[in-house]
Amino acid sequence: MSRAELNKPAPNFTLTDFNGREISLTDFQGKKNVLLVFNRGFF
Amino acid sequence: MAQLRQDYDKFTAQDTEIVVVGPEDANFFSAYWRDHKLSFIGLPDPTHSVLKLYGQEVNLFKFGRMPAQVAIDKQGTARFVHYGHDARDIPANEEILELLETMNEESHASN
Repeated sequence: MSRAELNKPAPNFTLTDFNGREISLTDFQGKKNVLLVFNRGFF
Repeated sequence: MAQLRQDYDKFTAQDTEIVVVGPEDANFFSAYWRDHKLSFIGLPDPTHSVLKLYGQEVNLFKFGRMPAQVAIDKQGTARFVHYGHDARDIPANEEILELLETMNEESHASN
């Protein structure tokens, strides 16, 4: 199973948010840090 | 989620965007975000493409998906990686905020 590795480039991805806006991890490069949170589910 | 919402301004002050990825669909996300008044980005991933890309663990004996957090700097490098071993294994915001502050200091020093 792949995993994010410390001090390595974080794998890029593109997903659509719940408002229909496309978001890629690379959108933030050079602009902001990102805290990526994988929730365990909201239930 | 409540913990992140509470400290959202502190993350913003550290030039950081919080991006939450989950297996639910857009309708669920939309309702949850509205009900809990969340300001950060919510990305539904019903096909689990990113959840798999990042290797989020699913443990049926521990009630499903394990939480995971990855802090990524402005160069796109993962600077903090935490895969929870159980549902409550979530690092404290203070720990992540401290690291973000260090990341920003390094970033300013190199510019």
